[in-house]
Amino acid sequence: MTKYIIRRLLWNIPVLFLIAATTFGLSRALPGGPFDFAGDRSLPESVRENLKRKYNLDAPIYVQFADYMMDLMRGDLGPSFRYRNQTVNDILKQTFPISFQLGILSLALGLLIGIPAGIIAALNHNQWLDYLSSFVAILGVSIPNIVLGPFLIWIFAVKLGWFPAAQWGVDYTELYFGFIPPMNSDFWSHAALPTITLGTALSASIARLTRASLLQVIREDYIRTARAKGLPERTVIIVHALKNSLIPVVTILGPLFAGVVTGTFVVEQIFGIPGLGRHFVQSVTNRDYPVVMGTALLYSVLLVLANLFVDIAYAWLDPRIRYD
Amino acid sequence: MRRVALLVAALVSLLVLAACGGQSGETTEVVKEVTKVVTQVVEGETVEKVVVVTATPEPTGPEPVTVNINWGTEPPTADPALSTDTTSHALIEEIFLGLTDLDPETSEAIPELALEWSANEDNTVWTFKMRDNAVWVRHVPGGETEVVTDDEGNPRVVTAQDVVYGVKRTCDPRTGSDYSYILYIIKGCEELNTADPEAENFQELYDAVGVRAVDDFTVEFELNYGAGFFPQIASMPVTFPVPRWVIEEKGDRWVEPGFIVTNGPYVIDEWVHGDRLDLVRNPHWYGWEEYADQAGNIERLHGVMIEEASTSFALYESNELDTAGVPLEQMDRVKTDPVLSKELVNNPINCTYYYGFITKKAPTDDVNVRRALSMAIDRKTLVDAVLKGGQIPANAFTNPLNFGSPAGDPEVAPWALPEEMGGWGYAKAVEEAKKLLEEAGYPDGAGLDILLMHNVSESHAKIAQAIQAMWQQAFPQATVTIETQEWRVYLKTIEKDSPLEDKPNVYRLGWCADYPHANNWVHEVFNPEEGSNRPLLSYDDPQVGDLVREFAETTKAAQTASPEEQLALYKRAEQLLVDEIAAMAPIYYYTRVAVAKPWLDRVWGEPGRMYLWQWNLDVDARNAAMGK
Repeated sequence: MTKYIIRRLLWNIPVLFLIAATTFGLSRALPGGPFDFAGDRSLPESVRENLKRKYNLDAPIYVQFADYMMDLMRGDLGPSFRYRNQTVNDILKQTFPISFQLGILSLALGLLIGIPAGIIAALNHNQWLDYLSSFVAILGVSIPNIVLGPFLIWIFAVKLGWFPAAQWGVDYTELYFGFIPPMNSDFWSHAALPTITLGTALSASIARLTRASLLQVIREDYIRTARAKGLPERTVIIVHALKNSLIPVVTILGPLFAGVVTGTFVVEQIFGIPGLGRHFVQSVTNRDYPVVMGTALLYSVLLVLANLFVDIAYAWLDPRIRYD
Repeated sequence: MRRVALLVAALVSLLVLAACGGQSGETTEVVKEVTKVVTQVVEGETVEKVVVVTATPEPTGPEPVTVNINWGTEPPTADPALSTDTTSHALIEEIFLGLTDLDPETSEAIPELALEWSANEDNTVWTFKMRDNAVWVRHVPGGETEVVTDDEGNPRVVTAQDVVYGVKRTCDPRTGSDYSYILYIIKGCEELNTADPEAENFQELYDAVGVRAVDDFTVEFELNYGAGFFPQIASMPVTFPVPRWVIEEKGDRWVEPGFIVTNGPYVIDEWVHGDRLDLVRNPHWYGWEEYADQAGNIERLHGVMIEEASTSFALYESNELDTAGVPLEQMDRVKTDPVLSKELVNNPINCTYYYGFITKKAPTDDVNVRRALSMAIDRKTLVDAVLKGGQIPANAFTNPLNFGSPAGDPEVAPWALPEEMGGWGYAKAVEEAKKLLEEAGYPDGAGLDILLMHNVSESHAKIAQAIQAMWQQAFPQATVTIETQEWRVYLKTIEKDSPLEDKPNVYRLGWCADYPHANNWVHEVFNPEEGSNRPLLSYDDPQVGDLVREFAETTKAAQTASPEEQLALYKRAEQLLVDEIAAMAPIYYYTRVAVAKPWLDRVWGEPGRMYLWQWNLDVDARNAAMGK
């Protein structure tokens, strides 16, 4: 197993390199450079030249890429072209923890609602509980965050005044070890609405997947065997069926995790949360190449790690899977 | 056992750390009380040290008067040489001073650092006499604001040398200032800005820039051509004095809280990137005493950075913001709501929304087609039924808030104005448009194929669809296609040098004044050689080549003309641009649609200028409204 993990980790190095090279090339292939315009006015060629020289964009692209990779080895992700008093390291350090907190809370809420809802639906196959759960899940999938978010703000912040309308309860200066928020009432009250917005959307798809997968597993021979042995139904479901049925759920959980903890643009935008999601989108609009690279690489690293964990989890969920 | 030992060790070290923290906290307390002056000489180099001059601790009395606003987004910079957007500009205006400021009502240059100014006969040499009581300060985040001192321990005053450094720094190619080109009007600035920093004569070029300190408080500019509007340029951040010694030490990060040294009415107290930026009063600013009669009572500004307009408005409605913008979709509700309608503010701002015509691409290479299209835009209906924000129909490019604008004058493109403004009205304009199009060989629009392009945005789409419908109705057989592109791709497409085959016939853009003068509009945007010239105006155009030449000469002549002559010249330039050449169709002049709570009495300057020091907030009224 250890050998397998090491092999996988080593394999990820060329994968990440390829991602870096592709992102580097693609971002520069987009028409319009970072310093061609200020707002909607085009800058004179002389000004563009100065800025390109300042940020080493006048060098041939392979030299730029080599320089970038050298800096990357040292952990330096470069300056931001848009926020010129900040570096990409600053931006990631400041925004990633916030997005991570929101992502983890939402994912937890999604699983907490989604898995039980899926099980209940599967066990009551084609009965009213199943239909109800399906109905709620489809509702959850089809109401976009951009509608649910403002709706929750309007009800619970503006009308009822139970929760703050926007912002995150802590900022990057208040985190323990630069990552862990103080779990005070301020944090939870600000986290409530965005977590519900994002979490319910996640729970809906998790519920649908759990239901479908469990329904399939329940019809397997070994479940019939377990029942024939006279095991109590509870043991049959929880010990034998559920564990196996979770494989598809775990499979999507990997990419879902990487996607959610690196920030959700819409939810962060609606609730004014200073997370990473904004930078994913705006860095491309601004042609802020180093930020594009930084966010893409962070996401890729999380994605390959999450997928590795998923593969390890398979072995635990299904003893037939071995990696030797 | 070993584990326990480790744990104990960890605990002990934590306690020690905590104790140290407590101690250092106490020492700063002590420093606050003892006023001390420190100068350091390190290896022959003098290093200025921040020193406490008036460190009398603020009495821990009532809460400071705090106004809550939304910056709208993270300011990309606080560096005056680098700012290009209104958010950065708004911040810089509060924390830095320029030679001049702009009057919030008239946009004329008014004294700030410079108390008076004068020019030579042909407006090519400008001399600014500066005040001697503006000081550089550094603010300890969450603590005191301290006056910076020099080697002898004297307060560091803002001098003419600081201005010279600021201007030259903008022109210096190594700074990478986006707006450096605005200072190309100053002698030698363009030469320096376009030079290679490695070149041998670089220092010579640096020294040759036409700005010099005559004495400590007199600064002189030498211009390439006479410009009566130069005092307004002197209000732009690219000309601001900046603290050389901090910039040379800290580089690009000099504007970060803790490092930054400023001189304006407010200082940055806290800047949590992407989240909030709070300002507090700079007690050392001269204006609190000198202009006590105009000063407001804001001691602290709490500014969040919410990009989503509807969320910002929700915060306003729950009293967490004292002033905010109004999202378009809320306009109808705000106008009819008994409370909100009284808080609504609707004032013109210095921007023009327009459509440009590519004059080299058929069929808009025909002036009659361009004029017909422009005439067939029902500006009044567009403003009243689509935009609903009190915008003003435009008949000239230059916004009426600028010197030299003939906006609203029926002698310029009268067909663009509704009858009540002295124009033709839409019915007559459409008749004329139909005639023109028939002359051009497209009766009823038959055979006319127009490509209209705008960048992806809901509001631009609404306007484009409305105008498409107007054209279709006026010319039933024409084909009008709308295409959209992502912002930067779009800007690239419509740029002067981009391939003609990628370009549309009609493009959308807006323009906002850098300084409130027609030169910034007609000349800098549309001059065939020196402007952005997106319509591709050319002296060789078979139909309007001579008119284009006349246009270029007119705006050029206006630069050195007397104010009365300028008015006539700019009017002629607009007649050419909008009507006779029809290079563009001005559509409307922007307005700001915002709300402010009744307890806030604020100044509504141009976007990017808050004049926070003049705001007043009635804390009792706010507390009463919030049930405190």
